[in-house]
Amino acid sequence: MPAPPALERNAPADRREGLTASRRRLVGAVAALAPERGSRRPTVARICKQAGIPKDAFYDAFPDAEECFSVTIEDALEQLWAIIDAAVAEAEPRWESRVTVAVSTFLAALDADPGRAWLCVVEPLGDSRRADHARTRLKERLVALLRGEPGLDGDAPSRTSAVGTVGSLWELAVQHVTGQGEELGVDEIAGSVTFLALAPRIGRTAAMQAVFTAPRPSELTVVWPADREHDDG
Amino acid sequence: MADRSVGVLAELPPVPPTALGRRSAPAPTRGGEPTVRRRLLAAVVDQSSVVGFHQVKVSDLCGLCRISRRTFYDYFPDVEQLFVAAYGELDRELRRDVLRAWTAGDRDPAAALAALVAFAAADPVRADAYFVQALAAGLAVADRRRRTLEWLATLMAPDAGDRAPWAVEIACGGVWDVIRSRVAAGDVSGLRRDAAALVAAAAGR
Repeated sequence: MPAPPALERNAPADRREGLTASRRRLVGAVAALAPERGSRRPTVARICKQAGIPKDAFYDAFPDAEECFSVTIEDALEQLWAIIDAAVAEAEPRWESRVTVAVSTFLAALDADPGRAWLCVVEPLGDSRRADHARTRLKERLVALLRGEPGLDGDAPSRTSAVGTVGSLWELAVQHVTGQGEELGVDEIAGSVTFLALAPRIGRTAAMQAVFTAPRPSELTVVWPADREHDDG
Repeated sequence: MADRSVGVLAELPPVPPTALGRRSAPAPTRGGEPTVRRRLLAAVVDQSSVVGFHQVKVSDLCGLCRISRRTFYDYFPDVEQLFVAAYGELDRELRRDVLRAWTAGDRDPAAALAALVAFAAADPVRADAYFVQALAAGLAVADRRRRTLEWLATLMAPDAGDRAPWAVEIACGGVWDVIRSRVAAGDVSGLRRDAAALVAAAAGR
């Protein structure tokens, strides 16, 4: 089976190359501060302190804090897609395998980095502009993955159904990342959402089997691309 | 189920054309003027929708309400707490609307979902504050939002007891996310247009 054309490979790496060194440091600082933030975003001074660069350099890199946050969130979402895309590319070339791997990897990536998880999943929800557009881009990629390419056995999920399933995944991820809900472990979320995504197309029994044989998010090791760059020096 | 849900939506009243589209009950007044607290609650909803929660400033709210900063801090310690209070009011309104529809519809899940969609479609400003800006305001709002989602799921599965099945909660989460996305995109008319399909897809699961 050919690779799904809807997946845009390597776009995230290209975008990251467009970030200057100081921008990368500031973006990394915002990501690092995400877990300790309250409801207010950190100030420019706090970001500069975290990044270890003077305030003047901040304004050389970004016109204002809002732009810095937008770029940070867009960058985090692109990295998240890069992680999912790479995992899906290595999955068995069957629709149900790609779906289970995508869902598990999405959740495993969130668990691997709580700061970026917050930036990817929660922060765009409080933003009706650029960050939300980036979130919509990622959601559309997941919707395309769920719908699969034409020619597969069984009826492809309707767009409404696929959008609803991705929305369900996102909402459960929000509850997991914000620490709301006692039973929201990533493995349980992955199993439930995957089953709901697969069952209408391949039947309940096959969907259950796919869930049981799918990689559990808690057992996956995920390294975010930015951290890999850092490790590479 | 799907046919019933479409029928329920077809009977929804049209969106009321008010200045802000707000259809909530008139605010309590003193001498014919809304109280400072009510004005602040309304102002933070409006400002959040216009500039985004992160850009809401105490000084702007004071200007809109024609009060001093000192008066603001007599009522709320900061913008976050003001938003939490405003969100609570919106949440009560939403629950009231949904519960009324659910009860009037003889505990029909589709009627409850239709009321949720109608709440979002009726007032873009209020919907933006409630569905879009909410998570910018921190964990207090996130907790209340989660409890409302769980409550909604119990209406979808009225015979399941205190806690709805996972699948129902997941379906409610999906509907919520779709509504939020449409509101954030300013596509409220599209939400109303596609509401029947959305409700049918969720209720039919």
